[in-house]
Amino acid sequence: MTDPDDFWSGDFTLRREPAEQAGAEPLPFERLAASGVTVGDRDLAQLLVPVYRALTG
Amino acid sequence: MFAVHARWLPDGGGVALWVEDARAVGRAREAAPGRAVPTHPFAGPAELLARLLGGIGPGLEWLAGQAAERWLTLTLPGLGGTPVPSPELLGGGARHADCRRDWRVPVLVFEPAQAAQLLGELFDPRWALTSAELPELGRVDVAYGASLRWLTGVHDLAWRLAGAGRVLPGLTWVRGAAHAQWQPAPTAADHREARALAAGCPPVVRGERSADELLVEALAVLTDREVRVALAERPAGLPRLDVDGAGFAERWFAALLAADGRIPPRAPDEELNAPAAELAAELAAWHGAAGTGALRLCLRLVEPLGPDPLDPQGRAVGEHWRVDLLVQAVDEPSLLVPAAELRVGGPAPAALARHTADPRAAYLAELQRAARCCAPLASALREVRPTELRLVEPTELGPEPTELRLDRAGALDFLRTAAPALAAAGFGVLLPGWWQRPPRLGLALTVRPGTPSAVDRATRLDHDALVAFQWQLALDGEPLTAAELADLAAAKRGLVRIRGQWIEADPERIAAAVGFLEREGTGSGPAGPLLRLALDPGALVAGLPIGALRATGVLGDLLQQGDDVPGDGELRLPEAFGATLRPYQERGVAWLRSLTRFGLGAVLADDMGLGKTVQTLALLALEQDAGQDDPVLLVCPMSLVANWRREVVRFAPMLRVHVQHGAGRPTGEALQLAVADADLVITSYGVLQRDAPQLRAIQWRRVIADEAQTVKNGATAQARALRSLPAGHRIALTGTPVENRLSELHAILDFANPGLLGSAAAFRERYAVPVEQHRSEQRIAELRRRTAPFVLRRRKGDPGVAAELPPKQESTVWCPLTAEQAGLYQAVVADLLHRLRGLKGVERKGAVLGAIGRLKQVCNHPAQLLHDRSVVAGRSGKLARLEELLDRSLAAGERTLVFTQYAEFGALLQPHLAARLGTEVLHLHGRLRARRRAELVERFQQDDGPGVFLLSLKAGGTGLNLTAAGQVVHLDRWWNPAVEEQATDRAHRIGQHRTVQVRRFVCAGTVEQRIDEMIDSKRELARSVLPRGERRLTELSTDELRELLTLTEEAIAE
Repeated sequence: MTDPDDFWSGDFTLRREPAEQAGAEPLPFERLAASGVTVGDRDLAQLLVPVYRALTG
Repeated sequence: MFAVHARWLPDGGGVALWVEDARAVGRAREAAPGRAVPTHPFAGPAELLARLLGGIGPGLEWLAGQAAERWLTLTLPGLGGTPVPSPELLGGGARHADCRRDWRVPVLVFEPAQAAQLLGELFDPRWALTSAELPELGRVDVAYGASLRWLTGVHDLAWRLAGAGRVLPGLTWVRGAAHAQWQPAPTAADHREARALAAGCPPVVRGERSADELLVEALAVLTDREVRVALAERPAGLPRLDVDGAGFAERWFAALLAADGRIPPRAPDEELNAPAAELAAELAAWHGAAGTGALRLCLRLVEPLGPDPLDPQGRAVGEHWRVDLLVQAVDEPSLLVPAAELRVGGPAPAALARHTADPRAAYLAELQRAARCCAPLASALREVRPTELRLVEPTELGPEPTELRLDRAGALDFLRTAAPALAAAGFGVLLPGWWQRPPRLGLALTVRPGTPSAVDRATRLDHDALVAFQWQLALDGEPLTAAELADLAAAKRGLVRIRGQWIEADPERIAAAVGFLEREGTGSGPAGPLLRLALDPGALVAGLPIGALRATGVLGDLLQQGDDVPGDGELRLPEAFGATLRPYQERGVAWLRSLTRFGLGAVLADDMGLGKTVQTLALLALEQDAGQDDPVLLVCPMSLVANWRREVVRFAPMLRVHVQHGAGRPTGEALQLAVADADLVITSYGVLQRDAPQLRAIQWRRVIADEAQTVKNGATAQARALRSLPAGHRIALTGTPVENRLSELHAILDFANPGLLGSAAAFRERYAVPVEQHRSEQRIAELRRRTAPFVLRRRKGDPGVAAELPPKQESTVWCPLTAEQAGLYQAVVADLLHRLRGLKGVERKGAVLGAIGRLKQVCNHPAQLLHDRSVVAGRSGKLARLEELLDRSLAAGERTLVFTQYAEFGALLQPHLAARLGTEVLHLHGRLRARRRAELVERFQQDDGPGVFLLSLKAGGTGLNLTAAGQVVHLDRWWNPAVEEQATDRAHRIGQHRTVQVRRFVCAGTVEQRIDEMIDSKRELARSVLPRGERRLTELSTDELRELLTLTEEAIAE
């Protein structure tokens, strides 16, 4: 049987600082064209704009 | 000691925590074989775990209160019949294990919402150990197991994804029910982080599940929870939908924004599977368009090869535009592989496989995504249409396209519409360089001097001198041939290849330009307006910018002058002219004459002392010799009126001069008669302002503004009066075209060439702000290019000029203070520091300025501060040094100019020095009339003139010719070094044959030394900054002032 430490332990590091993101990279949402999904007679992408603004603002 | 461990519960069930209790390790007994799953012997009860969490902090206590107590079966390593304790419980180094078996452990189960909160509370990248307060045990150590820390890491990533908006709305099933869910949309960096977490996942947290599977599920659940927390307070602007009786999509959307993602059925028996599956498919397809994978599609537009250079008929070898499709690794952008290679394999596709399991599938997904983002590409994928976008499907490579072919219109559409959309959607888009920096279509102007017969030099000297011109359409400044112009004119809207370069044709603009060329393409006209138009960077002709200006002859030389100043033929000065011009002065006169010929105003901005006066008089003498006898008006500062009159007599005695100055100056008809009888009228700026209406009534052949920096502020009455004079030609003379601000150059050039640089406001916006505030090299170059033909500036150090001038040696003479001076100095400082305690704002600044002035007076002489007409001798260290210097100079037969900014100090020195040195001492200051000043200058310049000339800096610092002096002393420092240099140039100028010794007197250890240091360290900057130096000092704090003004030991004479 192997060393029980292999069972209990992991090889990971908790980040003290967030990984650096490319500053100019658009949000995934911004890369999307019209969704084709209609919600309340409006395109889903349009409906989500204020949601993303709330998340990132 | 306790160790807390975690397990992610499957199917979105949240987190289960359990705890090991070190106290029970020694008491553990082996489980009997063959029986039901035994209870873990040192797992603590759930109630103990809840109390431990509560002992760590109130947040955790509340969360523990929300958790359910359950039992969970875990497979753990063991030895013999007992489980092996975790390393966290033992403090490192678990014992050997020989088996794994199931154990029942009591757990606290946290639902996803609480689990997210719990993991956020427990996230600690630095410490894996904390302590808790238990009533029965006091403070105990609590270790966080790797399983728990790993889950806090997953939660941390989820929290950051939610906060950065890197999420997409989706749909999932939880225990068979459809749920709206916010799903992670990680970037490449997020992907790397997630992969690292999965690779390092401790087995204890995942049980039998794969780490990837566990990570994907936990990350999705925790991300969803964090988005809902962010939206829980219903930030302003969130849409509100009425879901009563609404369709599935509306209810799904409402569930996205709700606290719980469950999608409520409209009726208990409503079938949700079908609409949920349909919506899930639509969403999945839409998400595919977000392009968050490891590979991305790149599109490279390739232009046609064009004519075959080997084909005698120039037929094209290829006329198709092509879009190459390539695949790029997001993490490794240099790994860019043609799509065609995906099918044939090789090292490049193999390299892509390091980034994703199936590169070809990823490429196809990207292709579909690109088609969604770009309508032309989508239609191309649907059908093949030869005139638009044609999809090439090489059968040997399989069905996926590897390149697209476009016609010319399709290529333009791709460039203008599709490429920006694709780039915005995250695709790589590679376009030809000419599209990034398109060749500039414009007009080229060619100008050559008119034929001699076209210009009657005797009568039409200046502003309407004619030149022949030709406008041509040009590409990047190079004129197009007739054939090229015909090709362009025939082109329809779209891409046109001209001279091997592609441009986007605009038929309407081209037609307008061709029409203009047919109507006004060639002709003759005055040079001035044409040149001003061509030099204006914002000018448009027939809707096109002016791309190039070519000029031949003297005009060409004017526009392209480098070190060589253009001339207009040989100069033959009248025999009576009283000087022989130096070569650079001849070039200056020739330049003035060329500009005059083309009606262009001139700014002669040679350094002080290089002979602007003699060059100007030479020009006037030449013109008079040629029969041009209409009057010229020269405006100068009052102090220079006599100097000009004297210089005219000396150099150009053939010129008839009228001096419009003094109380008895003529007016009305008498003025008209006087002007009619003169070649040159000299007046001052002050008289100009007063007599402007009368002077405006005369049509001047030329107006010359001497010391033109006097009117550097274009808004003053003097500047307005100067500009209002009607003149056929204008010359500005100045040694300092820019003293402080670039706007001064505008004011001077606007006098010489009205409107050349636009309005003062436009100049400020285009040049002054970019150059002064942002040091814009591009604007500096543009301004230089635009003004160069009209400004001639030679410095004393320039080649060809330096040889004409003897050297100038500058030094600082350090002077001590006498004990009396030191006492007074310290008293002034103490008084200032005392007074500053109660002063603020303007009063404080006034007090500081006043004190600095008094300190400078003390440095000169105590009697200057005290104004008590007391004895002069023996009380000033500076005076003692001056006496020594003058003694030596006089003994050597040298004459000395002594400048001071204080007329009072000069008045105090004159009788003292005359008596002390036993020689005549002249004193020029602002209260003397012009005639007296002229007499003093003339006296000093005589061969037997006196050896010492005291001058006030303001009255004697400009315009005078005092080359009899070989020594210059500046008794006190002025903030602006340019003012001192101008004063020095009274002696260091053309006509000087000896080395000029310049000495600046500074009292060591005093405020004078600080000023001296500021001037020396920032001499270049000083021109713009130091005039405000006094004001800057007033803004220092009291402590800083104390440090600045306090005497140092070296200040006092022994």
